[in-house]
Amino acid sequence: MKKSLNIFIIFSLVFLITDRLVGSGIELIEKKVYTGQSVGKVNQFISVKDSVDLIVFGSSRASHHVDAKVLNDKSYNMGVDGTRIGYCAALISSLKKKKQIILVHIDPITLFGGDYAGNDVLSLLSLSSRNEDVKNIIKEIYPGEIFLSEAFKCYSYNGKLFGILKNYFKPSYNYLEYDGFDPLYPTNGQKEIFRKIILNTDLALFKNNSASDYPNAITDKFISIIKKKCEDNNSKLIFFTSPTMKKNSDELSLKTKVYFDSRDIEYFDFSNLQEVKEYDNWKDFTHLSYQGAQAFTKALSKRIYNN
Amino acid sequence: MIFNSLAFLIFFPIVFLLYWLIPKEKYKIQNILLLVASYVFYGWWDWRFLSLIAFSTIIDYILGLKISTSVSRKRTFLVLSLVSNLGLLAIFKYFNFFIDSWIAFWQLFGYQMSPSTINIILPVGISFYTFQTMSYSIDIYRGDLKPTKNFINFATFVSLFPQLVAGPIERASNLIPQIAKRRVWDHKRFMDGAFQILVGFFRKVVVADAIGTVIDGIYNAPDIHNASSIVMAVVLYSFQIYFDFSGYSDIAIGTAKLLGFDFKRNFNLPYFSVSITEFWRRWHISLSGWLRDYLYIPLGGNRRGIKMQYRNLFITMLLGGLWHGSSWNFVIWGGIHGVLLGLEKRFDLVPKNYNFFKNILIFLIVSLIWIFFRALNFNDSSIIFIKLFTGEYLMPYIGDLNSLTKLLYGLILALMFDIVLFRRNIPLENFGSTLSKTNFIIISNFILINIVLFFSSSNNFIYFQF
Repeated sequence: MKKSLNIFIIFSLVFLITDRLVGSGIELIEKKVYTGQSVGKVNQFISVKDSVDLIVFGSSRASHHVDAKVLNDKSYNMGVDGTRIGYCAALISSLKKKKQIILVHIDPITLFGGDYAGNDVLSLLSLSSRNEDVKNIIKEIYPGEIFLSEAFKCYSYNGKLFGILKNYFKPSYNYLEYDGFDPLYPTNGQKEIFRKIILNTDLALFKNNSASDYPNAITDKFISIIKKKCEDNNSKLIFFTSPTMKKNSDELSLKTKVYFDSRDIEYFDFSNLQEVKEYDNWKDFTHLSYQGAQAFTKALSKRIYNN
Repeated sequence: MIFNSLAFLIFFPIVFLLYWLIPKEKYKIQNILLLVASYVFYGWWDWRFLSLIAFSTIIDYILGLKISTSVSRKRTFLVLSLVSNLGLLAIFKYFNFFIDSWIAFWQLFGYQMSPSTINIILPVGISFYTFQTMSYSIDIYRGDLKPTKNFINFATFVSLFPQLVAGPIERASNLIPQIAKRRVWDHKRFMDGAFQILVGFFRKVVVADAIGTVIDGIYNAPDIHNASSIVMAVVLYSFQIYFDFSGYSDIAIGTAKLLGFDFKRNFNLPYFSVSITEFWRRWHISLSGWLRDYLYIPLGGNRRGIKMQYRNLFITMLLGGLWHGSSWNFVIWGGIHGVLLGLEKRFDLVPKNYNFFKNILIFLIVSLIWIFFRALNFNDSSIIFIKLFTGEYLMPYIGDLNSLTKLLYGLILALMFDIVLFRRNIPLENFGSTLSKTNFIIISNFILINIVLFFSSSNNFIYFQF
């Protein structure tokens, strides 16, 4: 047993050292990456967040739909594919600048769906080592993950290494000209396929009806964090739902509106926006094309500044 | 509790430490600890299902003793054991399937019957432990095994947590004698076990789960994907199920080694087979062996002429397919393997002068048959086959490029390691101890760092559903 214990101890020590070395190496490279969704966009956000006047947060339906420059010259769209309210809350908690306009995209089903557990916030684990605000938010929901990321440095970079290396050696775009907006340009062929799909699809089948009567506790918690931060910074907070072909039931839309009214938070529901009704405004059922995004941004701008 | 969960990563070191802190002379206390730990492990999913495993254990313990001592009612006690085990399976696994199939059958003749299926949750691992307990009773009946009089030993055999939920299906003749004697710490076993656990985790969380994230979308909606995407999904699924299930077996066998037990090998590089027969000698060996000894041979095996052998192979594989799940797709999957095994007895499926391509051809045949195994239903399987042979081969759907790169990286590493095992002709079960101390530490660290950097989110093992 002594021999085995000896090997186990050496193995553990070598692992701890290797983990620190590899993790630190990745961290060194990661800090210099400013392109790509998994790491670069967050780094760019950290560098611009306290210099812009308007920031958009949300999922791909924020990054593809809101041309933030139309809303404000000094703006940034921090929408990232696959993220939800937890990710937004963690990033918003890091804002220092006062009197900004904060736009947060939310889908009503995230608010009233029971299955959301806030694990999108974990994609910010690598940022947590250099940003206390983000770390505290993650720690509130997933203390174990913070423990693991502190114990094992490589843990924070799980699934990100190839993205970091790719964007380090071959950046996807010129980040100095990038404002976070990722417009979608479907080809004529794609538009035609989508037109045919729409003709053969009963859109009523997509209706989001399956929602709980009560707001999801985690979502509610993140919204409170966002609200508190915006109040502290004296920033204007607006939640919005962008257009979608997967309609929400009237009941769900009403519940969402009532929820935000009760929290005294401004909420704009554009899920049924008439200006983007035609199929050529869409890339797929939930994402607008560039043309649709422009029409939507115009409507959003009107609503923000008229209010 | 699943192996790739934080709960298990805390649970196992605690059990391991307590287990080896008990003096080796007091192995009976070690057995009690293993039994309690196994029930905690199983109850982690749903404690109510502990009653099922306890029921199966008590019934087979009593009937095992009765079969051994009785002369005139030996057969009756065996039938009782089989009925109670198969009854559990029939109720919890096949009840709704039988009802639905019965209704569908009558609907073919125009009779309308109202569905009366009930909501039954499939208890994890029920197919594994019922097969294990059945083999115990059958072995005693045949006189191949003496029943254990020690209830704790028997209960530990049935529920031993490394193999409880997805095998390997251990035979009582292999495991009970190991439980019934004291275990001593063995450095070789430690090296082999620890290395196999690491390889198992890599296969599962780095390779199989990464493949799942890319192909699940294609298999769940084959109608919207083109033929190239479907080819990609079909080929990758063959690797997913292999690395998922062999990964589970590796963790199970390695964990058992760290506790001083030797389980039988469950996988032996199946995609290096040059025939379907060889594939079944290398794939899920504990199940193939079980089906051979308790179904194929009792049916007559190859002893009653070639036609009967075809029939026996076909029935065995058909039931083997049904064992995997309550769906006609599994029956078809097993049936096709049965037909191919039969054909192979008569013809060379791969002509001799194409020897070089045998591996690839067998891999492709097996991959095509996996379609029935993975597709959600028969309709989806048909769509996949139609698209494969008549569809447009355009750019495949690759989803997120980062996920695909991660997948390919893990897959290439895992395949390279399999090639090393094949060329060196060393079973993974014995590989760790063949490495020098330095190599062991370097290679194990390389694997662990890769696991930490590339693991995919926790998914259940595919075979848990069976």
